[in-house]
Amino acid sequence: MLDEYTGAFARYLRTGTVGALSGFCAEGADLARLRVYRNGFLKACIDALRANYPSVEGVTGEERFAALARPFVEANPPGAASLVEYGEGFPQHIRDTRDVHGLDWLVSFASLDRAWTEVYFSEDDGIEVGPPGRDSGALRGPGVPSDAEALMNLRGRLSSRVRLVSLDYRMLDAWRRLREGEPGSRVEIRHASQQVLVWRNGAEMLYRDLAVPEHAFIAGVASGRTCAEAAGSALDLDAEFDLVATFASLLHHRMVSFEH
Amino acid sequence: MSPGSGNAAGGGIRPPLVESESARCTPSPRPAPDQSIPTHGAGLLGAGVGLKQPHVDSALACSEPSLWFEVHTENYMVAGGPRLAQLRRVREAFPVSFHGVGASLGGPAPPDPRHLAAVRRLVEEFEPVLVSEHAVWSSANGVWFADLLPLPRTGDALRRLVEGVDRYQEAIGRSILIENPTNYLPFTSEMDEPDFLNEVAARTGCGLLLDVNNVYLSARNCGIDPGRYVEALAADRIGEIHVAGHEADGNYGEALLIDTHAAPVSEAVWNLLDAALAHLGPRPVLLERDGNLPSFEALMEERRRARTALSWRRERPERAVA
Repeated sequence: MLDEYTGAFARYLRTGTVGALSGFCAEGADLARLRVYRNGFLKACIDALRANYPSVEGVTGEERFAALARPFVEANPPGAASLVEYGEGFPQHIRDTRDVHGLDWLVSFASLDRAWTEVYFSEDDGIEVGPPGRDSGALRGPGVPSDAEALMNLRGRLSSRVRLVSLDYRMLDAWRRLREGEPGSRVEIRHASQQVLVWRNGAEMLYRDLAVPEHAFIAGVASGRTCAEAAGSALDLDAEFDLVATFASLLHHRMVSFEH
Repeated sequence: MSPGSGNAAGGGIRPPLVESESARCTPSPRPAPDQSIPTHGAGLLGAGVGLKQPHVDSALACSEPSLWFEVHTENYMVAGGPRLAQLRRVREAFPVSFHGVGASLGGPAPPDPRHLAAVRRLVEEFEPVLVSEHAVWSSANGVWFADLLPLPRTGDALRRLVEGVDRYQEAIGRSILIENPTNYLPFTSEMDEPDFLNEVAARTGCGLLLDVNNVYLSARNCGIDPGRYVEALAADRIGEIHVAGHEADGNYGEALLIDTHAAPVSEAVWNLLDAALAHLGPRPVLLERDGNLPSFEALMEERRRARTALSWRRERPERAVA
């Protein structure tokens, strides 16, 4: 009997159709009150998306955000009992529904919000680095061979505290203002690609715009290519690219580890 | 209309089950908590407050005597990061209890082993003074409905809930408290809710978390007698009491009260707390607030009402609920 009850209740929560659930309500019960449960389910999930995509809500406002989020929740209800990181597919939903909301650049805000959430709750590796010292340009770090040739032949991988985000629009400053709750003012959003690195140093969340060759190098390392191969991709784009400075910065912030 | 905008026909408001982030915090030295109130299986606690992210800094700077905090267990099921670090600092300074909202103890399937493993990891690290969950279901066929859904009070549901509590307690290696639900309409049932909860406690060895706001709302929404409800619960099983705010539904008005945790505790609920404490004797009392958050100071002022009720009850004999 319990399976029939929960099955009927689950169908009601997903669809709003009371159906067989009415048979489990006491005689004379006001079935319209069941909406408290369906609305509770939808509201909790939409509130979780609000928490995880604050810049998107900052752009759309509360009501429009709810209208955007509700079909996502109905199609992608939570599969686990923690909503802390709920909504992994929300940026794709925003991309898929751009003909409906008409905000082609909104997915860029969502992608950065998602990266922020994933980095914020990423596994702690006990690493918290101070500001670069006088030897900040040196290619040094735990597990980093002193032999430059050996280093360049290694394959690295990005720390779980790091995300590389590719955007279709240049909007990093607008995103920052929304995240930090700066008073509204018109900001420029240009239809041009932008690459952003988001990472965490201890409790401190950090992000910065990347130059095209910087991104090529870091993306190459992240994809499992050797450092030499990744450097080659970057130098093909810009022969003047300062490989050592970028590599040293990655090592200083322990964003890359190597498989020996 | 957006969901949860305030009426049953168009959306009842419920407590949020996820929190957004806030600023980081700095711990401060604190006096030892007042441990003068005896409780059943729950350590020695007075009046506590549900801890939300925006209040962490203020909480760590607070020196209120006998203060303790309760957090939603699921909000800390993350790999790492500042939120866990904050909770470690809070735990160093205060007793902390874990209140689960997602185990679906009475659901059609047993609690998810991955969920139980996550609870176990948190319990092992933080050693909460209390661990509690709800006598509800919330998950079916791989979908989690992010709400506390009522169980029919039948023999079948009783067996499932007993199995869920058994598995939860086995997973974390200690007994828990289970909370009475809020009811918005009556479902077909074979037994009264206190009898149902007492039987679960008797079969599993768990304790009970008496939410007097839930009792008050069930009484108003479904016509039960709140005093008789409290008296019918096994008093020696009650290890914690919750108080919280509620709001009238947008369409039904006072005929349908919603458990929002987004308003101050009503005088009627405070009165029911007084009556429950008079009947039970002192128990840890937890003030829940999940939405429309006031300042931490305003919340602590509201907590003083619970402290007063507890202080008064230390000196007086138990009696029937008014």
